[in-house]
Amino acid sequence: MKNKLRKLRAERQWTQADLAERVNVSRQTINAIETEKYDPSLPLAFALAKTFGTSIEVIFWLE
Amino acid sequence: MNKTFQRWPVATQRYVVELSCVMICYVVILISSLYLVRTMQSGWLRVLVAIAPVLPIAGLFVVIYRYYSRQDELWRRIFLEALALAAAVTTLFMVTGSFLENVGMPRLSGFWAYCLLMCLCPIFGAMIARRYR
Repeated sequence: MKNKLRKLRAERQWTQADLAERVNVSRQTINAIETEKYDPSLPLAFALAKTFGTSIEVIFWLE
Repeated sequence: MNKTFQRWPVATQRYVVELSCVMICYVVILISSLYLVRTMQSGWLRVLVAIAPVLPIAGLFVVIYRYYSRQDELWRRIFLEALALAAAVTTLFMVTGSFLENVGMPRLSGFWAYCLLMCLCPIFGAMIARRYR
C-alpha cells in the first residue's frame, strides 16, 4: 500500500513526533508507515485522515 | 541512572518499576518457600508453600500484559510475532529433547521451556523491530 503521509506532514511542518503525538502512537510507527514498511490498522488510518482533515483514500491507495 | 530512567517513555518507566517489584517478591517468596518446605511436615499447607512462587510469576504475566496494553499497534504486532516465533523455537527444542531421551539423553525439565521462551521473545522482538526501521 502506498501513502503520501510524509508529504502531508511536511506541508504542515510537523515532525514525525508531532504527528505521532496527535494520533497517539510512537514515532517509530509513523516512520514505518511513511517508509511503507507497515500498513496501519483501519482505526489508525481513520485517525490519520481526521488529523489531516481529509479522507483515507486521499492518504492511502493500492498500487 | 536517574536521568536515563526519566528519558524513557512513561509506559517503560512503569514497566520497569512494576517488573522490579514483582521480581523482588519472587526472590523473597522463592527463598522463603525453599526454606519452609524443608522444615515443614507433609500436608496440604506444605504443598501450598511449595507452589507459592507461582504467585509472583503470575504477577509477572500481569505486568507484561499491562505493558502490552499501553503500547501502540506496531509494537503489539512485533511482540506477537516475536512470541509466536519464540513459541515455535521452544517447541522444536523441547520436542528434540524428548526424542533424544530415546538415545539416553537426560529428561528435559519443563522449566527450560519457560526460560527459553522468556529469553527468545525479546531477542526475536529486537530482530523483527529492525524490519520496521
